Amino acid sequence: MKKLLEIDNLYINFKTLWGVAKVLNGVSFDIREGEIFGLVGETGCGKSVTALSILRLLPPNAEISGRILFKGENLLEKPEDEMRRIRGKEISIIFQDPMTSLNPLFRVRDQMLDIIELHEGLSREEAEKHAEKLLKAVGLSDPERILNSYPHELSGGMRQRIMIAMALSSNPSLLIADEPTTALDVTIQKQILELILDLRSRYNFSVLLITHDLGVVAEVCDRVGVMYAGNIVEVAPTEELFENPLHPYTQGLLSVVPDPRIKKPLKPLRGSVPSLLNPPGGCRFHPRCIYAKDICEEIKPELHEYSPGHFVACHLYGGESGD
Amino acid sequence: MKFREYVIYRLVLAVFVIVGVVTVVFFISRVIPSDPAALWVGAHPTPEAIEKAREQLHLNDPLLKQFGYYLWSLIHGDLGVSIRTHNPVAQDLKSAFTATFELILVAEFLAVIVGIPLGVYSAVKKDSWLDNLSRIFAISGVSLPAFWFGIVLQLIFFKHLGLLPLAGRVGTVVMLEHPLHVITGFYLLDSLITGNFPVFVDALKHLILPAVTLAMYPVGLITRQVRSMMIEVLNENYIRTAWAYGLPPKKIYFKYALKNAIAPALITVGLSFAYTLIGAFLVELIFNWPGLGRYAAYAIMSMDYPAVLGVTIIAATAYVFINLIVDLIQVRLDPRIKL
Repeated sequence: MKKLLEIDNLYINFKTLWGVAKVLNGVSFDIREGEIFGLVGETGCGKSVTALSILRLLPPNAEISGRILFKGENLLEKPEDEMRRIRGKEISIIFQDPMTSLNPLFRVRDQMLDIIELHEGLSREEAEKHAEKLLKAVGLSDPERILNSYPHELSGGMRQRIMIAMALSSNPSLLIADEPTTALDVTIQKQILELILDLRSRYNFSVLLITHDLGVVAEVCDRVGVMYAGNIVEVAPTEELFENPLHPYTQGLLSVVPDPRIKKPLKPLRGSVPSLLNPPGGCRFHPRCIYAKDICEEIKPELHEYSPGHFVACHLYGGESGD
Repeated sequence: MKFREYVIYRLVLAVFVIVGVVTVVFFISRVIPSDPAALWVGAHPTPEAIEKAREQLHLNDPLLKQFGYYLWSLIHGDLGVSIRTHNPVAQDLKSAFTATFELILVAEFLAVIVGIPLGVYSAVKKDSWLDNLSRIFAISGVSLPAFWFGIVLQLIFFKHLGLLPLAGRVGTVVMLEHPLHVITGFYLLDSLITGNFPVFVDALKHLILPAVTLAMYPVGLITRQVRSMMIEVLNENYIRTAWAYGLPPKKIYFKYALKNAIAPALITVGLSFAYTLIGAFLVELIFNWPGLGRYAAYAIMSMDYPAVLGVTIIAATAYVFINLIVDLIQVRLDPRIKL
């Protein structure tokens, strides 16, 4: 399959009052056309920053290096006005918190139509028809009423559906979903995930799904990247990752997923997530790793293909820098 | 509660507020030792004349009865006769009120069209030279005394540049050559309606300096409030959404963010409007503006209690109505506010 998005050696630092936070530490992965790529990791590991960097929405105190190739063009070199034509048209994003992602003082109509008119060049009437069609497509049965509503009059699930409808309004080739179900209750979560799957098969866009929930990953993703403290530590097809996790961090993550069928105590990872102001040298996971060797403190392991399609960044599995 | 019911409810409350204020001011003005009768008859009075005036003004009646007289005529739209000018207070007030109202309208308009964009750009370009400059400007506007600022403007634009008139509402010569047919009492409006262009231009010229002087304070406040609210709002998730969908910056700042940031500035405009109606007497004095503040100051100094009460009624009514209007606009702006 063709690669739609390629992130190549992305480094992001934030200048803060307390020093420079090294938030992304050489992140590389790619998303193919039509696939759902999951990015998992704990809070603060850099998932959302990665998402925002693709759309160039990071705050001005961020320093970025590396390449983000979208359809072969480096987004980091594009002028701002060209980026504005990509945002919401070629690449759309839905955010974690549907309760605050819509503007409270404007009707849904205003917010949706502004975007549709902008990207599709439609008249107000045509845009309204398009919006109604989109709202129906995301399972909202009374589009007229939804368009007339203010966000506070709608439930969280409805708002997230509206966000999805907005995201799909220009038929984007990439949908970034940043924890799209985290703020919703479980039944609504399932509906939203199924909706994304269903729409993907109809409109054939790729999805970058960011989550900390391995259950969500197992349910919808084709491939998964595991992030730890600003690094991608493992990339594999979903089934392969769950059956044969290589990186000690991935193994640790999977061992803390409770299985209701087997009654055994969970084994939590020892230690806690390092500060990104002063991250550990070498492999950033080494202070928490039960297999850590001397080399892990010295040299950062690079991501390499251990078995076909299964990449890992760990000295336990050899690789170029492990020699 | 429905919109109309709410407005009626507030208007009923307003009547109580205004009656309350009138009561308090009436008794205070009578408790202060002074002799309105002596003022009424003028210089070198005979004791008989003063006694006659006292009868005429009901000053010999018990205080409560005097208050009854006053309320009775107030209900009939009669505010009494000014002791100082011997004109009906209502007539005095009408011309003073329109003069001040016209001035404040222009001043607040200036404050809004300068303060809001300045606040927005200050927030957008936070900590840039533009922001620093606008903050210095804003803090000067709030802290420099208006009368001092007015005098400086007169020095520059009248004395040195000779561009604008020193004081007054309209030039005497212009008024003699092109008599203005007064309809509403707002000179700009009346001259426009009647097509009296020379008076319009002259009145506008006279208006500029006092209006700019009065605008300084609200401009400073509005700039600061819009700036700090905008900084907050620009960090909200829904603004990030707007960026993420490629909306143009102007639309994000002035449509999606500003509506969320405007409320405190709106209240400032309302309150400074009401305050300036009476509170601008120093500026009115400097620019010899025949307005309400000046009228109120003279009325108080000469113990002209019918005039003082009249001014009080106007001020109280203005506060009540402007607060009501501001509240109603807030409701219109934010659908989450329930009446």
